[in-house]
Amino acid sequence: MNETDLHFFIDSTVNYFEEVTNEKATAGIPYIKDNEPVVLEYTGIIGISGKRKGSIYVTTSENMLSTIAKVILGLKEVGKEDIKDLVGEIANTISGNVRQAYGSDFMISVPVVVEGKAKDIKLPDNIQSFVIPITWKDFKLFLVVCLE
Amino acid sequence: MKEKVKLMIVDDSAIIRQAIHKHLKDFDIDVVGTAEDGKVALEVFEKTNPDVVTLDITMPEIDGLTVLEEMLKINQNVKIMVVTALSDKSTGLKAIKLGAKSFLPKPFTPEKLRSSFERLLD
Amino acid sequence: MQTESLKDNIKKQEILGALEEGILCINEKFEITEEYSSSLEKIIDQEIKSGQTFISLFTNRVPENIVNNTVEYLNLMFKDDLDEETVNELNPLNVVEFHFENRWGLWTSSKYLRFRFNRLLRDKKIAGLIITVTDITKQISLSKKLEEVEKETNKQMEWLVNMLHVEPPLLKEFLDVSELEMQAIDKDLRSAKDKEQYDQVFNKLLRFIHQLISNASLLNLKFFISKIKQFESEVRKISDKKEIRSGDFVPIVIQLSEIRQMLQDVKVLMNRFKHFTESVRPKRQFEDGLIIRAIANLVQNLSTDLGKEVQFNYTRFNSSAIPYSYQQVVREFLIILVRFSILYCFEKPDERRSANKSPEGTLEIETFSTSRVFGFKLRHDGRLIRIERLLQKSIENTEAEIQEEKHEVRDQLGAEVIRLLFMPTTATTSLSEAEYSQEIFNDMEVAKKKLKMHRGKIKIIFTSENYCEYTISLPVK
Repeated sequence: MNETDLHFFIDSTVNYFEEVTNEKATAGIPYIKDNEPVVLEYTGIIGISGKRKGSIYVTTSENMLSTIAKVILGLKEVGKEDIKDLVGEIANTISGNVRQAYGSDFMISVPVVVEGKAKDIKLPDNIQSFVIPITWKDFKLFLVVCLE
Repeated sequence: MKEKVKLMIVDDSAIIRQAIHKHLKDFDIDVVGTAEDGKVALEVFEKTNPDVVTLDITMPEIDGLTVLEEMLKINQNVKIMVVTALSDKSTGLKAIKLGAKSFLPKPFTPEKLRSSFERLLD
Repeated sequence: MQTESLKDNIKKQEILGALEEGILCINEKFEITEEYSSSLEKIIDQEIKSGQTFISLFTNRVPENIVNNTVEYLNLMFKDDLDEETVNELNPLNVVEFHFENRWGLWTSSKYLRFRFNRLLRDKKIAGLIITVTDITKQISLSKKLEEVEKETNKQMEWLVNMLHVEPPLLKEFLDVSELEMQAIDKDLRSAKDKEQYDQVFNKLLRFIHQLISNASLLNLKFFISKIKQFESEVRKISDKKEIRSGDFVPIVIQLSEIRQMLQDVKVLMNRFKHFTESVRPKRQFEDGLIIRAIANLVQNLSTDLGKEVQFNYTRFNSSAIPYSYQQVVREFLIILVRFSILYCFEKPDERRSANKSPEGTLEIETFSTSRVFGFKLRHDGRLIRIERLLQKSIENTEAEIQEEKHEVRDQLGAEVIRLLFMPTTATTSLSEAEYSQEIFNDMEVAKKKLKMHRGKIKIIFTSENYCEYTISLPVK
């Protein structure tokens, strides 16, 4: 991973929030993931293959997802299924959007959604993973990027 | 009386299907079917024969571009708007080359969706 | 080739178990016909369904542009008027990386496959194509691995040559201390949110960099020093910006990850040669001598760098007398004072000659201890240019009159000198000294805190021209 790679992901995530909610999100300083788990209540994982290999995931709280879902659907209440679905869609959109930079050789899988605080998300041991903290309103979301 | 436009929404995300439905409801449309993967999409398409389809690309079972080709084989007059997060130019170009009439990158605002849809109906 | 006989042939060969290649046929619609070998399914890890198109085998397995090129290529292969061999030159699947995913759609592995195409003729017309698929992963991986191993070996050899002269315990300590520092920096990076905190992070980063450079210089780890210097210039470039955003830290984070990887690689290399280092494991007496060797290295390297000549005398320094709990702080203080003395006090040989001094300066260290105190002294015969200037500045600022004594300063003045000595500033340094200056004052700040933590004391005796002695004493616990 290099500087440009990390910028693509930061821009893609910040842009997602601005476009979908019309409210800016801010990216914190990224850091290298260590043994400490980075898992919140809902996690959407995307597998990456092709020229780059690895995976990315977004993980966040139920409150954040439900607030975004309400904005998207213009509803006062949203169901658990929508919340679960949304975390996968966010992961899919962020990784799909970086293809603008990488091209079609950057192949992304359909999202896998993990509900509940898992011990940690298994990522390849031999590749360094970067955590990008994102703040939107008062909510926290982490984007974890693990690319060869 | 003018007939309503028959719309089919294909996306593996339920929230996106609902959002598209909601934001297009002011148009004179009738949502005749929805599908969460490529295989179901083709089955529903054959049954409902929609005029317009919004179609995602990254989906389980059969990918959106293959679905696009198959739909056009069944009905070459159907208007297909590809709505996808795959924002690279080659995916957009390929979709248009295969016969899609419109290409809307995700994430989209309700305004962008409505104006793309309006142009598609013109 | 006739299709019927081909089908028979495939069956026969499969029965004999001799067919390692996958074989299949496609018609002009690119659909896979009945004739295919079961080894094909094994190679591509997919079940072939009747009527399935050849192209569909590639969905999500190879990049889209290759799939597109394959379609174009197959169209050409079905054109009667084009020469088969010529078209075959364009085969985009001659060597292709084929990706495999698990049931979650996550990438798991890759294979390198070779697809070869031949026309099937019926009544002199192209009726289809016969395709053979070979798994060439082993060959490709082997050559790639060889390439990587060669690259890695070259790098490791360079490092190893550089590391061989370093005592293993020192190297281990260097790696451990660096790792701990990196963890602390990481923690600060995670919590920094505004300008004030960003500034604090930059200060810590620069301090960390200087400590790393300083420690790596002690061990003479050239490959590491050059990487850290590169990192330092990146940090300075960003910290100099008027407005700093979190995104500006991206290059820092990336370089930190590279440094961490480098430390990790050095650790792996060190462990790999563990049996070697163990066989030459230093005895306690030898370990005690390491601190002296490290300081001697520093004196030699730094004075050469600055064009100065310094003789280092340590005969009265007894390393084994240093209490275990003070080893770190003693070493740190020695490093700081040695660096300070060489950088600011020792004159170049010409200057020394014109001041009627020997061209070679003398730097001496010694230990002392009583039942209540352990301490050490460092003395040299350089000038205290910096102290003179700082005192001048201090006098200007306070309008106080401070009289310098010729041989020993009064307690009050000594205290003032120490205060000024540890005051972070670069105002009095010349350009050639600039690269050392900031780090030394950062180091001094840290050392001062550590000394205070251990309830230690520092005393200084000096003349401005040719004598300076520091005495550091620490209570025996």
